[in-house]
Amino acid sequence: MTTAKTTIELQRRVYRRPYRMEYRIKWGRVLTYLIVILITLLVIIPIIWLVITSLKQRSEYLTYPLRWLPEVPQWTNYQQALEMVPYMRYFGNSLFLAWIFSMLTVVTSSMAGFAFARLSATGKSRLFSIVLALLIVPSFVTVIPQFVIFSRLHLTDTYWPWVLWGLAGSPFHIFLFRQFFLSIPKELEDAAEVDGASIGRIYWQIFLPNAKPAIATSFIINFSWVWGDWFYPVIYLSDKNTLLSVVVARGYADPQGNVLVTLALAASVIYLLPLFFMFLLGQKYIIQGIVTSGLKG
Amino acid sequence: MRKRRRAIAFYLFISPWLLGFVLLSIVPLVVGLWMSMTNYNGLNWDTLSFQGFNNYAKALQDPEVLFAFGRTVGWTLINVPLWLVTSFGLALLMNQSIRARGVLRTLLYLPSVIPPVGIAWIWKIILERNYGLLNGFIDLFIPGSATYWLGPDHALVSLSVIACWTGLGSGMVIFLAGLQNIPAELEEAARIDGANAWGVFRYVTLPMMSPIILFQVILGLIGAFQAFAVPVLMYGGGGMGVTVTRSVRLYMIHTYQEIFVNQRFGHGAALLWLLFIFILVFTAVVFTTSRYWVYEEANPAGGA
Amino acid sequence: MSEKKLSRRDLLKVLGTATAASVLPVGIAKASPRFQTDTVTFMINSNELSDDEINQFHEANPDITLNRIDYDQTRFYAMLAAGTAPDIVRVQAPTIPQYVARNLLLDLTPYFEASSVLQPDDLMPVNDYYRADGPLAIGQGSRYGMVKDWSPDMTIWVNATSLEEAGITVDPTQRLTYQELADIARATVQKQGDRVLVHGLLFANAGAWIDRVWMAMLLEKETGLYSEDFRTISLRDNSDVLEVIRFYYDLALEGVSDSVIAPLSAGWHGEAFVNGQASCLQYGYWFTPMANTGEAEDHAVMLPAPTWADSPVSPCITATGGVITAGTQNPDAAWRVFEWYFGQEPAQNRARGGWGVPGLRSLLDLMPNETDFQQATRAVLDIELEHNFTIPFNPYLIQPEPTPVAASYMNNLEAALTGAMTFDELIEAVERESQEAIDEGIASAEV
Repeated sequence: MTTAKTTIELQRRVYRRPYRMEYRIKWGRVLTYLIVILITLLVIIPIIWLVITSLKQRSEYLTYPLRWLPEVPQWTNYQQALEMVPYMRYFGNSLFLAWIFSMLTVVTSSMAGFAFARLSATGKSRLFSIVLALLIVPSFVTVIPQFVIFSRLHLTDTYWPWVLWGLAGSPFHIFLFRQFFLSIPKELEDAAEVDGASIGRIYWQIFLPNAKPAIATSFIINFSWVWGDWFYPVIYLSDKNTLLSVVVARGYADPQGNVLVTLALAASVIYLLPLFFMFLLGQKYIIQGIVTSGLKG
Repeated sequence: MRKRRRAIAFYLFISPWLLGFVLLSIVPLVVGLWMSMTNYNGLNWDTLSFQGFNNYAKALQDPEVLFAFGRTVGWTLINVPLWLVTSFGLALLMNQSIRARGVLRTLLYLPSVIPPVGIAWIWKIILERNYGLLNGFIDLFIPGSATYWLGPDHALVSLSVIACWTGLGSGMVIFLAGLQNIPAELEEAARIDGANAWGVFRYVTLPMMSPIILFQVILGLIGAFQAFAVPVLMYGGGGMGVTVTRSVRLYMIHTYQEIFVNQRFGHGAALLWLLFIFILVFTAVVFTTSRYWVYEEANPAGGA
Repeated sequence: MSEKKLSRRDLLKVLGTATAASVLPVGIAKASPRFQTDTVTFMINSNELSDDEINQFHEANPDITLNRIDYDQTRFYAMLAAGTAPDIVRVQAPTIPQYVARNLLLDLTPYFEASSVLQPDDLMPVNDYYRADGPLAIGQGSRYGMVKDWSPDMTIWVNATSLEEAGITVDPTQRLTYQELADIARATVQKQGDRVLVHGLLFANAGAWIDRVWMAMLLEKETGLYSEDFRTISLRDNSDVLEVIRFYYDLALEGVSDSVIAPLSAGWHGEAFVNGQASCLQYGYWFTPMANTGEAEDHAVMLPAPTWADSPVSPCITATGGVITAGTQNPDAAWRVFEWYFGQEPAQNRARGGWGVPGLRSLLDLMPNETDFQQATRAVLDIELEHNFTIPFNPYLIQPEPTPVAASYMNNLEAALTGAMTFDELIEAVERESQEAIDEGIASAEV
């Protein structure tokens, strides 16, 4: 009797378990899907609302109770946003500066990354630990002294601070390139050396061309930083040569000082487009880059 | 000979960074330290007086500074766990085999791509008292409530939600990558040993993820202590945070106001150094205590 | 492989050009469009000096290049520290004492005496703000600058309909007391639960010049916030001061005026008034062009400044104007620009626009005086002009906007209004923080 009972129970357990687990997993899956989709919607709604509101008339925004959709999408808001301030000039300023800064940072960081990955010298490991330590050090301690120094050197109101920052590279990007270069097979380098290539050549013609993902990542991250930064342009630049971020933040007010919200929103959307665009194109690289530094950091 | 060439090349290649590091990091750091011991206020460059550690002593006794510091600690204690939990949770969810994970991941990451100026505009039109989306929505159920979301009672919550929303995507991505690098055998072994979902989580997932969690905690802490741009922009970014409501008067907001509105550069430099020292000490503490909860052998990346 | 080589070189070329191009902004900032001219840098906002006016100046003065840069406090100080201060800078009267204390301003008295455009007799009394015999003796002595356009700042704008609904009428020729004003404000405020739909009285409570408002009111009682030598601020021990601060504080506490517990729906006070969301507003004459628009059209009336102690006073507390910095390289050219801006076409344009009272008596006639509204407002203004006087400002306070006193009050006001601080604690905090600022100012002004 006991054996039979046990056998039956065992059988029941064996046969029931997979069935129950399947059933549970299905419910769990549906729930997971629902939650994820709900969260995604909640996350996206603010962005959608931005676009919707940017297409409203000023009176449609300033009404109570809330008006959900504009009666007629005001595409003219975008036109006005571009005309009310010399938008393209600031767009150009940001583009120009972001480009220069990104190029400079990529070059100097990749050079340093290459050095840390492939070259050796006394003091290398100590220097690298400095790089690692700098990853964590916040930048704010140097902001004010830099400002004072740059002021005394008459470099405020110019783009030179960014040029100098670009030339100095960045610990994060040095790290990024180093990790990437470490994974390039040594055989390539050895072959080139046998051919008598100089170190510079090796860097220039072997490592860099094979580092396109790292270059893309680094470039996009740097570009986005300059494009999105608001604080440094505010303290360093003024009216004519300031960046788009500052203009979008406070440029859309009528002569009395009333903020023209719908126009500022339209300006914001245009302002965000290049960032979204770059992100969508390069998200594979960006995420890979962040993951690499995150996992190995 | 070759070694020497390589050594020379090494220093040549890192020279831009090294030079920049010295000129743009070391020098300003020292200048900042020196400035923090003077009474520089923008106008008296030629008549500076050396104050020793006066500025520091004053700052540590200044109720305004202590208040701002308290606010920042509160802010950090709310925001960092919130961000960690939500992005980790999302990563767990996304780790199930879901179709269209790529699209969802992209959408969830979008807020992280938006710079502070954009974030401020997006959330201004949502949280605005009379014309915002949130109150408009609530109005459908509780007409006439018109909560002042950016006022003293709710500002902390509102700004925390915004910060969480912004950081969700980037946090999730890192956690997700970590999760995917956990060897499946470990999970299977745990299940065979009789662990249920919670057990797997507690004994496999968490320990394996602990280095990443440590990394994110430190990043999160450092970021939270420096929070500045979005709160200032939400309240009108013209006056360097002068109009920010008191409940979110964070340390950096107070400091930059002292510097750029009150022109107290010396005092402000001391404030910045104090925060810097605090962050260093705090990070060191987190690091040393990490050996008790971070599973050292776990290397989800599996090498290098 | 060779294509890659080319692309590397192209990259270098692009980098090189780009970096070279980044030098351009540096050059542009200093370039002058014409050869051999004196460059005068004028730090003032674009809405106060238009490009058209600059072109006009260039046509009339081909030997001077006028370079306008945006006004910014921090940038101004940075330029001073770097030795590249602008030649002419827009300032407000309260900053004059501290600049004089640090010898940052050029003495313009000889220029004024020799000028045919800016004649000392023609100057309105408000220009005394720009006269100093040392930093502690403002109001007499050498001239350092001049007013751009100004208003008696304490006048009151009322929305007549709002008042009618509460059964109140006002006579623009009669000067109200502050108490009467407060009563009107309390009677005309409209609330819906905790929300304020129409504020009773809007003024610079949480604004950059609250301390100047106090000083104006205190002057009627012949007292002030500071000791005679400006080295001490005393708030707690002075009952007159407490009364003045308490007056505005109570209005905020009751939700009659705007504050963090009763915020505006509009973006700023002017917008609120124009939207019909405020019945009284303490703004100066400069608000005229905007006052009569929107919901307030045909209902806006300007009243004389209220009196605190029954003495008719109507001070100006800002007196925006310009000075020439002491380090200027081209004082004569700078003076030419100065003269033009403060006495000729730009000044005339400003007078006609009605955005303020000009600094010269001879330009008074250019002010708008046609519609009934404008005439009524002018009538009140003329009364006010006779009761103008200057307020002594503290030379030891670095007076950015907001002043340290106002900033301290603003920061702590929120705590006080929400109950986290008592009124006495608020006063104590403001006094302590302001005294600290004064001490720092004293220490940095003396070597």
